[in-house]
Amino acid sequence: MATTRLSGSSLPVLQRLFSRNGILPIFQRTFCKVPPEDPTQAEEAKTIEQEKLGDSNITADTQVKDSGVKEQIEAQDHKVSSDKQVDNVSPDSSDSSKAEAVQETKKPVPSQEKKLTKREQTQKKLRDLLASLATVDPLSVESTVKLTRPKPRPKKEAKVKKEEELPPPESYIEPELVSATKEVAESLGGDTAATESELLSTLRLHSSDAPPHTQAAASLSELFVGMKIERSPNEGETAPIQHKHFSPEADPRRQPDANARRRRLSRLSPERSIPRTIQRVDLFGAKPLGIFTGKCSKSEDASSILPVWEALHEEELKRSMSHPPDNAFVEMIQWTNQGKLWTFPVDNEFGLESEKKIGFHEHVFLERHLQGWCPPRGPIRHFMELVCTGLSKNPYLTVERKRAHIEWYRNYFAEKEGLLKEIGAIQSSN
Amino acid sequence: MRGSIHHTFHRLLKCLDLRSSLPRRTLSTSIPLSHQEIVIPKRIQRSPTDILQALASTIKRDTSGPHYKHHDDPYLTPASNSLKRMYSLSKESGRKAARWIRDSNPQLFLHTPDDPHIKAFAPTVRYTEDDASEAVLRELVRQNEVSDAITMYRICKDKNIDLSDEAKQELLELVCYSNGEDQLEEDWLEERWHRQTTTTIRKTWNDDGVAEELFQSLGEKKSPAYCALIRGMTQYYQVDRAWQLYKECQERELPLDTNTYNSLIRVSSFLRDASDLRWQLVKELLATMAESGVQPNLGTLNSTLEALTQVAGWREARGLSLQVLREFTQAGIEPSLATYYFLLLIHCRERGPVSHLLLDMLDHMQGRAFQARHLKDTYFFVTAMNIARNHIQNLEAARHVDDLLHTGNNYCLIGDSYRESVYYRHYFALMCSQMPIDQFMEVYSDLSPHIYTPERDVMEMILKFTTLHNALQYIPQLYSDMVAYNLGNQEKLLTLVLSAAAQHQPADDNIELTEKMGRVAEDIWTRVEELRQDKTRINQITWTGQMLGDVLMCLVVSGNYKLCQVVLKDATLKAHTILGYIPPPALRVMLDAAIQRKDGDTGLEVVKYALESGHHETGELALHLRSSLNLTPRQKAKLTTALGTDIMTEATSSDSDSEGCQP
Repeated sequence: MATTRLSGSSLPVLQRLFSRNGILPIFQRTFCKVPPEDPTQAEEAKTIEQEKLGDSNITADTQVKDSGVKEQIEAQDHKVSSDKQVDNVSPDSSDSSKAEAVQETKKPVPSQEKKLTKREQTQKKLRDLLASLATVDPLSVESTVKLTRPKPRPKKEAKVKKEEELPPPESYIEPELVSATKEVAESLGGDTAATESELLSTLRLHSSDAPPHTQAAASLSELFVGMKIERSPNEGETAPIQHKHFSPEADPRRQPDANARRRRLSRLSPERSIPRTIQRVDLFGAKPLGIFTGKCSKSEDASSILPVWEALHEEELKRSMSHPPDNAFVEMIQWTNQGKLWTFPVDNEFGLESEKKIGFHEHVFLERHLQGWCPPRGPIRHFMELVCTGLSKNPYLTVERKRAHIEWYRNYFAEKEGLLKEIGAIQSSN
Repeated sequence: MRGSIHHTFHRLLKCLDLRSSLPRRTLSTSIPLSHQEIVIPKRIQRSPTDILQALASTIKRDTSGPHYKHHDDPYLTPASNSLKRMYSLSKESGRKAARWIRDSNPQLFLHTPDDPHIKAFAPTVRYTEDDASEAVLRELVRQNEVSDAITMYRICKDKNIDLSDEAKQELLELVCYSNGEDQLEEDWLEERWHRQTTTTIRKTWNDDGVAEELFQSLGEKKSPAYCALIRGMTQYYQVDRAWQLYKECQERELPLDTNTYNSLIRVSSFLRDASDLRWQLVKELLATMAESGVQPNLGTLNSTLEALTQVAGWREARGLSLQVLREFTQAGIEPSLATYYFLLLIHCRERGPVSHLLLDMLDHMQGRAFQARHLKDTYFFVTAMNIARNHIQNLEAARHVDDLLHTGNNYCLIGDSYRESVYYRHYFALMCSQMPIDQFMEVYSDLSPHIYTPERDVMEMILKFTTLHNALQYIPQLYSDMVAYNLGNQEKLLTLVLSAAAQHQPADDNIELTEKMGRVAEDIWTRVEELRQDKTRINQITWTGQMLGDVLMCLVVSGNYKLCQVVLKDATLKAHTILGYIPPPALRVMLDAAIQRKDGDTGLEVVKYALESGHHETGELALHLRSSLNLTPRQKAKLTTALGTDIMTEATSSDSDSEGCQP
């Protein structure tokens, strides 16, 4: 029995030793719970009692003295009478030291009174365990039962200590084995720590090859499947536990896991299942943010502080809508906008900006330009009247050109004044 | 007669005096006049293009012919996507060449008989260094000639020409907007249509470029300068510096305008990491706007939603997006298509839960004509169709989206050719999988090839569904379309066509189809053989045994026995280039055809091929051949050397049996 007894001072060393290997939590749990002074309690820790209560209703009232070793529950025999001690049969008994450790667990000396109080405690713990098992999503039930808790982080050691129903990590070595190893290492002498770690690592290799607890856990799960879970006295407590799994807000730590599973599932099924029921959303029915209150005035857009930028933006917007034309009309619209086409409605004066200021009468009534130099009658007058009529009908000349025409004739006749007088085309004034 | 007209005219004048309206018929008949007020409608100002627009709206897109831009010649009608692209771009490149000649030889284009002068036809004005002045610079900015304007600015600087702050500000805006790069000219519609715009979200801002130089050179940095620079930086994702400038503005208490705030909101996600912090920042910016009395506009709504799309995976993003929408619609802002686009992005995520928001949106948008009011408006239709197909798989929704696209001028908002074809790709795929095949084929022949040419994947889907529904009558049409769409060299598609054609069961009422199937198989055979001759091809088509088997089946069924022999010979000779072997059922069919035509040699070939391929059915085939046909001694000898004497004895025994049976 001395093998399980550990002095408190050796704990930190072991902690340091094992913290690397990720088995620290279990290690701590096992050894910290057991007061080193009382070997009987250490024994009790390995005592498992199974009771069958009631009639054909299979009700598991499994008592676990120290639920840190819950993996050792053997479920082969359902009809064990109450308080019957079940031998802790380890499946892997090839290792001698391990076998020895197992042998030691066969001597339970429980004191009845202690057990009662302890029984109550453990019953509650077991119920919790069962409840948490029952909440596991049916999809994830596999041969190895992994409780849905994530691995405890080193930070939360204190918390972990309390959560006795936590599953063991992969390379779990039974605490008896650990203590036995310790003993062996001490008996060998020399560098005990090194020897012990060597031994443990060898053991861990074995345990990962054929982990004894997985089978035990599997049988545990088999036992619990189809077993009626004894309700805890307070019904209100269990209900939220079940609910907990499905509400993402309940356990923030669990949420990424749930998301991951959803993602996995969606990846598994190539065609996503689309819900038949269509949930209508009221687009404009939500509660406003309440930042902008009151209507915004639209006049503000007119005076932009960046005119060039806004013009460029407008143009780009227009371009984002412009396509290769669909038909001749659209093409004509584009040409019109590019200034290549006369605008509709068709107007003869399109683009004649300089003519806009000049009235129609200036084009048509040109005889007033003859006043003052042209003789009132005679061939010259007749000729010039014809010139004016011709010019008034010409749409291609500007008023200035027309005036220039008349001016040219005026100068011409002024040059030839002598000759004209001679032939009598102009009557001399006297 | 004349008198009566005169009489009515007088009465008319009288009526006008009485200010009563005159029904037209009173001109000929004198009916007592009713006393009605003449209401002369006010003149409606028409823009120069209004009449044209009214005329254009009467013309619907003709689905039976090529697009207007293509040459009106059947020989030049493009069917495949690559041809469409090539033809339209080459047309435009012709225009570009002409433009280049005009611009490189301006001295040849001095004759300008046009009055009024049309600037678009004249060579572009060239400026020399001597012209450098502020007026020229401003003119260049007005014409959006980015690189020319920058060059002119540099020349002015070198020549120590003083530029006013206004000119610098204008140039700054231009440079910030364009990031100092020339943009695609307005005239090159095809290039813009066929350009695949990939929106890259990464920093493309020219650090320490002209923009920042201009900004530094400004005498007094007022808020327009800050606004321009901040907008430019955010547009090209130089987020950190933009934020710095924003802080600077706040310190100096310079007011910013709405669009500058919008641009900051749009990129605010890049300044924070966590979703809630990003949203916090957006809210802060909005609150700052509200505090400083800056009115929000459509851009604010869209920028806020765009910021939310960056955190669309966040749990609260969906609820917040609706809150944002409500907030701004309450303020009197009408959402644009981009608003709906961002909402779809937030609500209908690939990995997220299914949301039917699209249906609600469509209810709201039905029958409305939209205008481009935001640059992202053109992303709506393609996204909506994508969601209708992939997210909710709802044909009804897809139809509504399509109806909306064809409402008013909405088709202009489809974006570009790439988005258009993606849109139709989704639409086709959805219709193909959810509509009865006959109905689908109606739509198919309506829309393709002129509106949309199916790509390889869509074609594959159509072929698969046609085969699934056993609508083999469409296979010849689909095959000829495939060839026209330049998909005739796709091994996967050819395999599908052949396996569908081989499924065809000839009957008396489908002789025509049988013939067509035969022609399809023949065409595939010759086409693939031609392709295999071309050694320069990268993706060589490899015959597979299955394909050849299908070819044989189709040819036998359609009675093209000659080609069957060629195919079989080819398969025997070039067995090393063929993947796998012709499957036994096809060989059996071939053998039957040979037996029917009493062609022992070909029958022997079939058996030999089966033997070389190691089919278990070889013996059976040999027995069949031996028992159904009277082989010549030479053929018998060949059969014996190939299969041993056992086969002959067995054959003779069965032969005698069959002979015994015959009377």
